[in-house]
Amino acid sequence: MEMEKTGAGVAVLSAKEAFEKLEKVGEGTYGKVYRAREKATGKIVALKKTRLHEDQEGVPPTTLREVSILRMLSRDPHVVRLMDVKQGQNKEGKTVLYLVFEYMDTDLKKFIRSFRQTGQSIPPQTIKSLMYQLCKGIAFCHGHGILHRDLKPHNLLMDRKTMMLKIADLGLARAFTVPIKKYTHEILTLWYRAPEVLLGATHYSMAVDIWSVGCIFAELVTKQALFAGDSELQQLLHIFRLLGTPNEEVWPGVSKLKDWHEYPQWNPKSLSTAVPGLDELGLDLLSQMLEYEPSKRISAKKAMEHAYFNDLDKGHL
Amino acid sequence: MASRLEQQQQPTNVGGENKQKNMGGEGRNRRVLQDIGNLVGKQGHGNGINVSKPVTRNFRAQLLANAQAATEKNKKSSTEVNNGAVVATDGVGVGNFVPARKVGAAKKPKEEPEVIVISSDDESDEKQAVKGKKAREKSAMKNAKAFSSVLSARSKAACGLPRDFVMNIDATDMDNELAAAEYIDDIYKFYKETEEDGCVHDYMGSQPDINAKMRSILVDWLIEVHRKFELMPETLYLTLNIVDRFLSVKAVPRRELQLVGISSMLIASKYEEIWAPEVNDFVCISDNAYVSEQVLMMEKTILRKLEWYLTVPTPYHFLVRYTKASTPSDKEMENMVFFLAELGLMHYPTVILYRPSLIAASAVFAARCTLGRSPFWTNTLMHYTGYSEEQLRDCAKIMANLHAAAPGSKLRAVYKKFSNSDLSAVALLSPAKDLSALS
Repeated sequence: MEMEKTGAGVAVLSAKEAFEKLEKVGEGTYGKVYRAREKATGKIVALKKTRLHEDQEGVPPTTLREVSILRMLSRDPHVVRLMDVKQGQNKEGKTVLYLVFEYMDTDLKKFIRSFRQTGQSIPPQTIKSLMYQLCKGIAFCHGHGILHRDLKPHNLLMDRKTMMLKIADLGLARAFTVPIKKYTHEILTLWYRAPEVLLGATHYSMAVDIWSVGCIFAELVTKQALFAGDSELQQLLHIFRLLGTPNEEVWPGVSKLKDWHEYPQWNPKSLSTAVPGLDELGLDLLSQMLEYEPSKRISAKKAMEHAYFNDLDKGHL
Repeated sequence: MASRLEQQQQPTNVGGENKQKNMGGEGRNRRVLQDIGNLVGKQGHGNGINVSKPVTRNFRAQLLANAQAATEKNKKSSTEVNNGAVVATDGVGVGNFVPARKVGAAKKPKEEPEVIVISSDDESDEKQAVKGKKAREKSAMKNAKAFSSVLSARSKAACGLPRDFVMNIDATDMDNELAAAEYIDDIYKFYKETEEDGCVHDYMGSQPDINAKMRSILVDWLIEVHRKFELMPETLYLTLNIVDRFLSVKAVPRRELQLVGISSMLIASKYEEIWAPEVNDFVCISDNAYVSEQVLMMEKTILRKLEWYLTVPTPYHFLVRYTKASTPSDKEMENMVFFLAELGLMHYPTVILYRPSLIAASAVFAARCTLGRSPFWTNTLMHYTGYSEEQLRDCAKIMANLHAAAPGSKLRAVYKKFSNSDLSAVALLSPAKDLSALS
């Protein structure tokens, strides 16, 4: 489906006329997400409803970025496809924006939860395939000058049948220019937030996405969040307990970061204690994703070439 | 760039025997340029060659032969060194240029080496010195190389620099994650492929109520607003891109042109800034010519008409990259580039005739001409921009003319902005006289 064209004589259907809402499947910062059927084709889609605050500031920056970035990235098989953008009106006569996405039947959070509830482990080859797809999608974003900045299982959509994974929810994403400038550090869900962001770095890079990928990797293996803090301080302490308290030797410049304080001193533990089900190659890749120093953290591009993925059939991915 | 005094203190190594040294504890060997062969002494050039002596063809031929032999020798040795200081390029590969180490400088581990760029800054002196001789030998010299070229060839040979030398401008950024060195080529390849999406055709013919002059007035005002709000440069370039793309698809009455401008800047600010100005700020700055509802309505109209395409390469994306390729880059150079680019963006024909990357490359070329950076266009710039000097001359000439006309123009926002000392007051410098005559 093409983006709506507003040429003369072309009747543009409103969202209400074009779609039949089937059920609410989620709720975001700016509105609800519905499973819906396109009346003309019978195709099942996801409708993300966004309120436009005309009485205040108009289109939210998150919506502006998400739609614009997806208009560019949507051609990648590992990024969710934005099919259309429609404007409508709610009962109060306010403008509502509907983002029409391809429908995916689950997300990684639900997928992990289903295994946790049955007490089963996610098969190692499934983990490998999902991780490869995630790295491929992120490499595509980074190679097009886009930081996602909110990677977490909930934002990774999946098709249960094909085991296809797609990156979604680019509301916090942004295009960057090189050299990367100072950006807000109000990004990333706490559990997947990189230590440089937690320590107040305003200049951060693609490495923040890789840290999140590492946390997701561990979670796929253990079915538990790797670092489940309930505050910024607790989050840092969770990280330090496993990886050791960083210092100038392992991470030059760490003590100069805005929110650095004197923290309890822990020695690094072996990652295998926290992620016991992961093989040696997997642990090696994970350790490179969880490097403290951002410039030493592996890139998504390099991660795809890691030996951990050697026995994966990449043909269909 | 190292001063001549510093250069004189370096040991001479004419044969190009580049010894391997361990660079700053990096754990891998790199060839270090021990000498830059175009050192200038008081009396003569390089290796005691006195330019006041007549330069015979014999001597010139001998120099050339030596230079070529040294180049061959270096080519051979540079292929044997994995991470060679200099790599001969075939237009695709990019060499790492590792500079000479200053004598007596203490070794500092993990410190980035100072990049010394070899350019032909001294060539004009050389040409002056041999001018008289050249005139007498003119006919005999038809097929011979000019003395300056010989010296430059000899110096390059001494350093192991091939004539088509291209500096790897990302070599020192491998440990800087903010430089995105691993993805930079992919990103700019993508920008080049998609820049057409952000280009506009000549739309004034389909605008019954506005003209190019009105557009210039709007852009001039938007540049002032941008400065007043202290927004990022990206925001200005995206604003102007949005304005032009919108005007190319929708006829706008002149009373709404300013509304299009502020709504475009609102959109660009939301996209680029951490904290965008509020709608009311834009209403106030336009002297309450519009109400906030009109701004928000126009915002929606623009987004719908542009089909929400905002992630487009603007000249800014290319300017930062190409300025970096214009080594050694400095603040004056950078400010001159941006001054000329902004003059270009105010000029409607420039925007519709040239794509963003060409506007950016032309601004760099024109800036180098204006500031007398020699050579005006380098192999490194050609490699990273994909443009030859020939392709840029027309656009650069327009920019030089705009610079020359700027002091007398009624639209003074760009001139005023870049007359400021915090932007090196580049607008006050003399424009490049006649770009077409420069080659």
